[in-house]
Amino acid sequence: MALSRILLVDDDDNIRTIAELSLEDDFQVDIASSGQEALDIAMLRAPDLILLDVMMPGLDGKATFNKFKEIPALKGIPVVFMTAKVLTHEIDFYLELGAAGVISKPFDPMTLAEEVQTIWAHSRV
Amino acid sequence: MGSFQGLKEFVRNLPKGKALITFIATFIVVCTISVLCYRLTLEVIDAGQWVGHTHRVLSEIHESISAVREMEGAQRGYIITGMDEFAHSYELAKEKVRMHVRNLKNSVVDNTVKEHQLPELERLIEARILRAQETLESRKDIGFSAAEKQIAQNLGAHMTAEIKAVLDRMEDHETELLAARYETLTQSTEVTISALAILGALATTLLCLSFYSTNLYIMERRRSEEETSRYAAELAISKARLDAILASMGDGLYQIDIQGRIVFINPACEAITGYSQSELLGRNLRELIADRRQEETGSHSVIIDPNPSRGLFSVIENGGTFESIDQNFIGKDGKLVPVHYVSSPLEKDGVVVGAVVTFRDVTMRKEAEKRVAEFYSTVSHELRSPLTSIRGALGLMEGGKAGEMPARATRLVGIAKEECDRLIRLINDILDIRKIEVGKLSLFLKKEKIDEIIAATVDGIKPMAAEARVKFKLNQVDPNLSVFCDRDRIIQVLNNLIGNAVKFSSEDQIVTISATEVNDGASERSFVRVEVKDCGPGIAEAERDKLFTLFQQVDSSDSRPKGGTGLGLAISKALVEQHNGTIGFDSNVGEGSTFWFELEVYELKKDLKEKVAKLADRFTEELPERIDYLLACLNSYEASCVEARDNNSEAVAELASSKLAEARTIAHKLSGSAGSYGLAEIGNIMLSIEKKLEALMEAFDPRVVSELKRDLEHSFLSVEKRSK
Repeated sequence: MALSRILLVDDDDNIRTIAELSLEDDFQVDIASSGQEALDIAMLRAPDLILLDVMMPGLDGKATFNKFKEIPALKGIPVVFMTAKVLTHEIDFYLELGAAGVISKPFDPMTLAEEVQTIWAHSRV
Repeated sequence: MGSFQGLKEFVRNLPKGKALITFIATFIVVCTISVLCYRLTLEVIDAGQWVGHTHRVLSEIHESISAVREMEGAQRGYIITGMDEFAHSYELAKEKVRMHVRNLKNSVVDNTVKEHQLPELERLIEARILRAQETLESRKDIGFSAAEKQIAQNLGAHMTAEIKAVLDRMEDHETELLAARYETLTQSTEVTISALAILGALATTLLCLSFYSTNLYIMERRRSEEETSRYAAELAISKARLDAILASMGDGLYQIDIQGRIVFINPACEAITGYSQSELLGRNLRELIADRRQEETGSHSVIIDPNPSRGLFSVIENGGTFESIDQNFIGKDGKLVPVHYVSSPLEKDGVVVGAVVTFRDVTMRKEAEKRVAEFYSTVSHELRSPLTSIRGALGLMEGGKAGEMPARATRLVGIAKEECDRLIRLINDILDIRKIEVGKLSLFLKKEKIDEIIAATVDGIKPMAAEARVKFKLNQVDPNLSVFCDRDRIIQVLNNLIGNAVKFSSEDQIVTISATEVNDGASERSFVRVEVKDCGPGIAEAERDKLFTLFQQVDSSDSRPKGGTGLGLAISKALVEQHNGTIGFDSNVGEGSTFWFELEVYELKKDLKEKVAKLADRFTEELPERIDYLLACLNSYEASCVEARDNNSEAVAELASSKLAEARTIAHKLSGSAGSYGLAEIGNIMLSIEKKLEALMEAFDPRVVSELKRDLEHSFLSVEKRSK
């Protein structure tokens, strides 16, 4: 199975647009602007992978991630966090939580798709 | 009992030292003088009595002679005249003679010479009286002529002469005695007078001495009393001053005894804790130290410390002082007061009798710190979000996602992207500097191979070097060379140094990177020295001092924009120093510079091994206590879970998950600590427990708890095995 459908979750419209532009050539991208919206859309569209911003008002990335794991239908979807905090021990923290990977912000839009693909491939092993 | 007390009091108040000696000496001398005077006076009186006695004896002798003469005269008168008056006079004189002889006899009973003479005298006297009686009777009965005849025989006169002779002898003897006794009297008197004079002089001297020393003693007493009262006054002043200081100092103060009971507090302590003095005195300070505190590094996580008073009380056993800036004291009504406290042992006569704990309420500071931290967090997020967009948009444009662009536009977008990257670096650097300045930059230390760190850094910087057409030369690095460091931070340092070297190199110049082990002969320690050598313009003498200060960029001769933030070297210096390392450079103008830093080689030296073993032992000792607490959290979770299920109560469920979160925090800490003490097994168990706890938090399932408890028991066994 190839990676085809990605759910992108970020509260910042511009970042969302940039990321969408970076990914749309390679994948089908659904977008959500909050944790709650992400849950709703994920239930509808069943994405192959979720790109999740950490710092969001209301349900933040970590809480959203926990919610995903509570719902059996969404439990197995790999989640990649996007965060500005990119020190090794922080990456370790998210990986230990069960994340498939961590992408640091600001990301390079030209290589984002590649990066996501790599993480996806890794998570399938 | 009362009088005994009085006597003790009297003895205690007796003069001491020289005064006492003088007093005793004077007392002895005066006693001696009194005894001597008594003896001497007795001698003089005795001698005088003897002289008087001799006089009396002499007078008796004279009286006796004259009485004998008187008797003879009366006898003759009667013989011649025959008148009765003479006979009567004779009788009187006769009795007088007898009386005197009797007196004499009484006076000389003790005198052997006269005792011999007295019988003779008595005999002669009686014979003389008999003769005179016979003569008188002859005159009376026969007549004058018969008496005259008897007188003419001159027997009476003869006898009288004999009597006189005896008496004269006695007188002579007595006169001799008198002379001798006078002599004795005179001598005694002279001795007495001289002795009295000498003793008097001695007594006067001693009296003077006694007076002098008593005076000295009194003066000394007075001086010491004055000193005592002055000292008491000074003591009162200094006590008042100390009381005033204790009362007005803003910091709270607990004085505790060796068991930890509070024996003294100051008013500030009441103000900070809300307790009154009577509520605090006698309580154990251990009860007033909270077991939870904010974790230093994370902003919101809470650490549960099963033995929060350990540090504070360690000073009683180990001495030294203990300082804490992140503990809470429990105030009245359970209010937690964040405090900065210092605990020091209290010594009395060289023995530790307790501790003094001074503390300051740091609520306001903590709040301010929290506000500042939140501000920085917000600012960095707010700055990064638009920059992420800008950087992304520029990247997409440059990559052709927005369609084909004219060459000029591409160049302009390239500049904008570069500057955007610089701005992002600047924000990161400023946040780092801020963390370093407030001491909040935490290192996550691990054993790292230095060749891997160099390779990773060089990989990251290759695109930049390629762009500047600068080449790298990596010298062979010993793959076993490791340092104990925070990988990200050392990469950051090396990145700064290599980045600078690339920036200051011209096209086709070579930047050489090497790492070697160097030994410090003095401290017998080994360091890894990492060097980055460039062939750039070098650093002018005048620039060298400010190189590692904030916002400094070295003027370069070619005035090419270097794209730096001016913070890189300052941050690198702080980071290396936080690793207990050193950083520096050697430079020759026109020849290039070599920047280097040194970090201690990761090698478990003997003392370090011991230290780690000791820490591990302490950790193992404390482990059961912490595992106990973990179990308590789990039990409480289990109970709450069941209750929440039964009553469908969200509040109880929330309580349960908060307990679980506590348990997880502890397990997380334990797994980390166990690793750093080399207790791999315990660390692994804790890690698995932590993961299960995490899973439990998601699943909210009391059944998982029993599995966890089994794991905890297993870790208990590991600890026990280790302790053995």
